[in-house]
Amino acid sequence: MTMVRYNYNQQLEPPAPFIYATVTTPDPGAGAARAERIPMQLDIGAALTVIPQRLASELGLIKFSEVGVGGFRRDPEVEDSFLVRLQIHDWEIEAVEVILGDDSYGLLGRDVLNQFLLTLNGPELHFTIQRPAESAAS
Amino acid sequence: MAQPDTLLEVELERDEGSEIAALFEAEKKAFWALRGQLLDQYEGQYVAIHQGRVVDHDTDKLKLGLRVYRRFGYQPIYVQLVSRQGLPVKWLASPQRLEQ
Repeated sequence: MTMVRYNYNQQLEPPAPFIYATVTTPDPGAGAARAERIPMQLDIGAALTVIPQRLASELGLIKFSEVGVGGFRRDPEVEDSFLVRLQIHDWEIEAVEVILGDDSYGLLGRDVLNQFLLTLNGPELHFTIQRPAESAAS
Repeated sequence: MAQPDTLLEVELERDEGSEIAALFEAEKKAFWALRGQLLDQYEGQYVAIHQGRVVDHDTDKLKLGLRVYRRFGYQPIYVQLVSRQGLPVKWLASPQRLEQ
């Protein structure tokens, strides 16, 4: 089982676990799919995954659905969602429903993180990530 | 009056983005118009609306999305849960410091 180790990003205060992921449209076989590699913060407080707004036009994403999205002391609001494919190192996630956010980086929510084994080492500011075989097969 | 030697016509570049957005809005509108009827047959399932009608359904939203894109291509299709309640709500619960 492959394991990847990252140092925490220390540009944020307090430092935070970030990873690189590649976002593409959900059906690359259909045409010339564009891909974009972005930094994503691991966010176990998020129930779903967020990608930067600019990717919608850069990748030519088409709206898929709508979800109600609530936040910390924020009532739910309706947001458009998109279906994308994510690649994190060698791990493919065929379909992830995402919404658009204002930051230059994305948030990897529990919808994705729950497929991985994560070990956070806060005092030493690094983490490891690996994907159990049964998650990779699904 | 003299006749022109050449007849010209200006063709503007198509705004594909707004055409796609309009198609998606039409599929969404069709879902909400059909919702009352859909409850009898599909309550608790996700349906995919394409060209104003249900083209597929599933209890798994992501599997349904992949299936309809494979079948129809990557084009405007509205996928939503058929429910008597409002839209499903997801929470982004992590507060952020303003100074970041």
